[in-house]
Amino acid sequence: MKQKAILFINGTGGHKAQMVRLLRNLDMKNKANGIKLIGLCENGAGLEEYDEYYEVDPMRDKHSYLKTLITAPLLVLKISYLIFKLLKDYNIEVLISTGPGIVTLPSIIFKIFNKKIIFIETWSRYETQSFSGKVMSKLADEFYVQNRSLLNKYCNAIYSGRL
Amino acid sequence: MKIFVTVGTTAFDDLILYLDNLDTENEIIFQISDDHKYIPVNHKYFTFTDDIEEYYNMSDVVITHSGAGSVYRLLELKKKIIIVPNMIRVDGHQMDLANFMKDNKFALVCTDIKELDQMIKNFHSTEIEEYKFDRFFKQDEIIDIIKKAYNI
Repeated sequence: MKQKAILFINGTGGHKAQMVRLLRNLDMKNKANGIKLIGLCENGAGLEEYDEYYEVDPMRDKHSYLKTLITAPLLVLKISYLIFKLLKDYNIEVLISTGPGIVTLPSIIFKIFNKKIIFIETWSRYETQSFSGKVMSKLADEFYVQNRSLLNKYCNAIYSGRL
Repeated sequence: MKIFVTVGTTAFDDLILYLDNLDTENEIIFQISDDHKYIPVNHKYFTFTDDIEEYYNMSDVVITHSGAGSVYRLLELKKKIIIVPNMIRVDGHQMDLANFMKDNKFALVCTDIKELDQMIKNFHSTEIEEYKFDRFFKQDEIIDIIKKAYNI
């Protein structure tokens, strides 16, 4: 039987900080022991809390849209390969992410295979939607927002309080 | 006054340049980004520390970019802060958090760097509200979803 695992996806900066706080809140080791924690992270965003993690370039360059257009196709191939390999090697039923855009492709694959997707929209949004938030509100089974004002922006959002 | 300035990981040269050249008696320490172009010449600076909270605690005024991680932590520590949104970020969402903090008076917010000098001078006489928030409360719900998914 394949090892049970959860795929966590997080970026750098605030996305990483939120994931650290989420993992502390979930207390997986005590509350869901025996499930391996696998991370898919932007470069430099891997966490020691993960049993293993893979780092990839960010999907979107923060300073240049042009750069994003050039690097995105290669990254799509790399991430797709990695996700299919993980799904083959492990029994992964759940994906949990605090963003950013890097989560969208794995989520589409998870959706096709009918896996659970949990997304927590970033804590820095109050009146505007993030790119990953817009996409993930369509894909996620549970779409949490940390600020009440976002309940008006997404029809399926659930208020979670702030990490 | 001791002033500590933190910009996170994205360069914020306009802010550092302005404060470094300000005619002031205040002692300023900068945390600057790795990809900065301007390096302070009149005050102390560093790019990374293991313990940024030490700097938060020993400062009278903390001037921060509008990164949520920095702002929330400072407010959790009950620090009175000045937020200066970094507008060079391509996504521009630093304004979202800054507007929320400004509208609720949880912090001083400076959207025009030229006004920062005056804001520092008025710092102690400016009233702010205590920051309150709901702590994340969906952990049990998420654990239940996980257990159900794996039949445990």
